[in-house]
Amino acid sequence: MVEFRETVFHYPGQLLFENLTYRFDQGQIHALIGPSGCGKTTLLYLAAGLLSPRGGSVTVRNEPVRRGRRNTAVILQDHGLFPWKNAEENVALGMTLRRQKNARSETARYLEELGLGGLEKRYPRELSGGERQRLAVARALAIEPDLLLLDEPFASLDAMTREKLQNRLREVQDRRRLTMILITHSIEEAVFLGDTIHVMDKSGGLTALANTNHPDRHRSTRPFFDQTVAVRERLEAAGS
Amino acid sequence: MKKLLLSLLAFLLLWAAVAALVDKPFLPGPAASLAALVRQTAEGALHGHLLVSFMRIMAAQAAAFIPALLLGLAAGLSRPVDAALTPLMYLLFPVPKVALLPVILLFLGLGNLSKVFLVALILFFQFYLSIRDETRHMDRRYFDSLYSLGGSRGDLLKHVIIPALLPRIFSTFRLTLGTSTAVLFLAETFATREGLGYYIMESWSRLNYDEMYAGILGLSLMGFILFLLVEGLERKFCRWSRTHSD
Repeated sequence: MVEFRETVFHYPGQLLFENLTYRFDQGQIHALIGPSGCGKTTLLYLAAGLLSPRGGSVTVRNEPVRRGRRNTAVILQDHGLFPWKNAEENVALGMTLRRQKNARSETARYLEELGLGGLEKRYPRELSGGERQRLAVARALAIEPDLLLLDEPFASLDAMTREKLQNRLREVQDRRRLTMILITHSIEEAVFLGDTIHVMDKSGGLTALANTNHPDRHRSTRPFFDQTVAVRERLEAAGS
Repeated sequence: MKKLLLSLLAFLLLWAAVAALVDKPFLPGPAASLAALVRQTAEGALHGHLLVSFMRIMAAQAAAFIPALLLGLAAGLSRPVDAALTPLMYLLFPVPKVALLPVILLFLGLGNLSKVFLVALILFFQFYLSIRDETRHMDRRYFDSLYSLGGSRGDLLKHVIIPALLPRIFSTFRLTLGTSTAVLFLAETFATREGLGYYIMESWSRLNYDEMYAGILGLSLMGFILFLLVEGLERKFCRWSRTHSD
């Protein structure tokens, strides 16, 4: 689905990826975890086409990635919601930009699906952290993506809200079977949500761990615990 | 509204007290000044000047704002444009433009154009720096957010940059309204027979202090109405920026 081939990327004075060759398979949630500053967000931006590789290629469904690919949705850190647009306008924007005709009715449907019915006219500042997060998910889903890229979507939420939204995201995935790449700093979140867990080391290298907790997806079980220990050990080896 | 009336009442009481204390013809009380304002308005002696001043302020605001918006956006979004323009602005901004009034009168004549030009010239720098700063420091993650939804560079202006700039633009309009009223007053005291500046100075030269204060009140009233207008527009278009404090 998303493939990096000999991808090179660097910021001035900082090499992040040198000939990165890696693949994220279709229809899975890929949890991406690694030490701060190792390049996780950059990897996501490359997959979204928001950054261009200096060398090699990045493809989505075998097509070279480009900015604004029709079926790629991104949820950026702090959700990326526009404060000057109300909930309804935020959700409708992606459809409007794509000249979609039924944007209005679809907006209502997605707000309802994410439990935001009745909050259409509220601005992001008037919503709670959890509601803002659901709004970001609604906006992303409204463009009918086949690839959803999420950059620490639950980082700023309290524990209970985070757990509820993780469950909600799993429900969405069970219905839609999207390909998701989810950056997280939480091992538990990676183990709960990821079909595959990818650990990125400080030099931008990636290692995949099949999630042995899957498909039960229960927290507080032996497989869940074993998997968090395995990810923690891999993360420590990666230099966290 | 209640607070506004209370402050107005407090101001009038203070004025009346100071006028009674000073007890000189050049400081009439508020009652005499307000009576002159009503009388002059009813006689049609004031509203012509008020209208001329109002039109000059509106024209100067527009003449300053439109080029400042275009150049401020260009400098805020492009480092090479910023490097070319902003040092020039820093150099010209502190030049006392009011001192250029005689030259402006020579170039543009005695009509409205010279007055509007002088006020616009002073306002332009305030608008330019404000728009350039706000654009330059705008959170670029909003740009990424729009691109990720399929937006183009052209969509940025409509969906991100202009809405994000609006609160700062309205705030700058408020600041420039005060400046424009002050500069216009000065400009209207030279080589003109129209406008509130002329009216006030002409009343002063006739030692008609009631009418002079009526003119000052007219000028204040015009500024007050313009402030209310800007605030009303801000409430309408920037509701999102006020919701956290409401």
